[in-house]
Amino acid sequence: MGAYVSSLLDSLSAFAGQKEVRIVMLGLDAAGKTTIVYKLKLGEIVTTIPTIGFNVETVEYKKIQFTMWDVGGQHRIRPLWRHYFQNVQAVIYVIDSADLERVAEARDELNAILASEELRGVPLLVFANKQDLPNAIEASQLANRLGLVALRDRQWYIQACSATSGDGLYEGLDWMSSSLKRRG
Amino acid sequence: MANRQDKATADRNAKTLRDLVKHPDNKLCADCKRNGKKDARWASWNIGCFVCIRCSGIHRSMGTHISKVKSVDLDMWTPEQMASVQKWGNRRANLYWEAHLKPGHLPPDHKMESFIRSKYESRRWALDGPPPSDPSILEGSNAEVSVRSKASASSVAQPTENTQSAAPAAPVVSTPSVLPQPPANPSHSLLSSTHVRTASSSNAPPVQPPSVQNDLFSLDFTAPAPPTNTNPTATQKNVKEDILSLFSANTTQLQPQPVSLFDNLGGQHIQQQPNAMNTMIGSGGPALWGADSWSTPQMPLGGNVWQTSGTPFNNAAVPLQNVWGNAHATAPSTNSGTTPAQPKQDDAFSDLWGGFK
Repeated sequence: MGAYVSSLLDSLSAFAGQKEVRIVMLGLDAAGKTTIVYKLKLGEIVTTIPTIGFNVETVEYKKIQFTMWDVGGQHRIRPLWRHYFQNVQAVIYVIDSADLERVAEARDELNAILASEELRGVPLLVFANKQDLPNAIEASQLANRLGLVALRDRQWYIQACSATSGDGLYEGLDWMSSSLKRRG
Repeated sequence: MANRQDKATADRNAKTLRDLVKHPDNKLCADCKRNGKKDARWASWNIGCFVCIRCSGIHRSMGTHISKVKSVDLDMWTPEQMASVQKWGNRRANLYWEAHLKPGHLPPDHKMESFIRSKYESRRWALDGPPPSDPSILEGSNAEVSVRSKASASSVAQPTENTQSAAPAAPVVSTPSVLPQPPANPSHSLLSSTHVRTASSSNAPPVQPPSVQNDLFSLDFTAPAPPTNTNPTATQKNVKEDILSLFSANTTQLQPQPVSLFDNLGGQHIQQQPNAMNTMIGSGGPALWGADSWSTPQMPLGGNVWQTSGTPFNNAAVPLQNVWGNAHATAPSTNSGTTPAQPKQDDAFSDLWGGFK
């Protein structure tokens, strides 16, 4: 997989030069969206506060420029998510793998956004974050609980990760690059 | 969707929460104790305390097995979550989590993350045992102390009950542990004064301790004593039981032998040494640690720490205004690392805030 992805990326970047990809990051509050964005951007852990509104950062990886819109996840501001859907080429959905009490809520919110017309066919990358915490469940289990297996007409991928250590983050971006390449 | 609730319930919860954060006990952030001017509008519902947005971020970083954070304004609350913050609140929460911390301690600004992690993750200053299911016993005990000590003369069995009821008062005591003097001295002198008071109270019931602080102080060290009298071999075990008695008032045993408490005074002091030492180590450790690491605040550093983390958020606002124009109204102000900028959101959130402002 890794070799496949890297060869793909090489040919991609050689062919198209630098490419820009617009991404929206969604997920329940405290899933780790902001921490992931700044871990990718700065390579370090920033002390975050709950996001009221959004953050936007560009991250360059393998000659692709990812513009990441990180939107606050508190219940009452989730209706604002749809305002960020226009023209996104991929969705990253972040979930706290150790917060088992709220997996059902995360699933419902995910289904709601995937029902949006603007996101039809847009690739979905799920980050099963906080794998470093004691009670975290595996990505495969989360995939079942989130109902990903039942998704139709959409490329999706779930990647276990830990924003604090950085493990898994770039593997997720690797999948996203290859997925975007497949879409053309 | 999960967590949908009817509007009446949501409105009622919102009103209750608004009242709760206005309560004097909850006005200051439970952790930094500073950001009261802006209100502590975030909560850790499982801990039951209200905190400022900055401290809430640190709570979230510990994981939901430690702290489950919700916004007073931006989240839906379940009945269970409401019940928890209603029965706890900042004062009771800190009676438990800061039981062995010097009263009035202000954690330095630049140490907030380590302070909060020490407080909840390492339980550095917490009472032993899990949080009580009924937190009211944490503060009820303080009020009871003086009442019980007045009543102690009325019957023979009362003095022991007095010292037992004193156990919940232990959390209040931590001042002596930061004194550079060997803590054994105040322990002993106050210990003996307690015994004198117990004795004299049979003749002069209304004798009052010189000050609340001293009274609580002495009670802390006498608390482990009664079990020692009746069952000297169970000393170590009873230390824990005493603390556990905080959480289940019914499990304490009456030991109606106040006289032996006197007869054994000499021996009791010796036996009590381990107890006293435990107490000292328990509260003295963190306090000494605090003195070492915190008494030399590095203010310039503190400012920098937050400014750096704040910078990305501030930067985010710049491209936004250019790119989105009017859409900016629906996507309110971005985070600032130093200020949550809540007031600015009034317009954009007017439909969401409802009656909040």
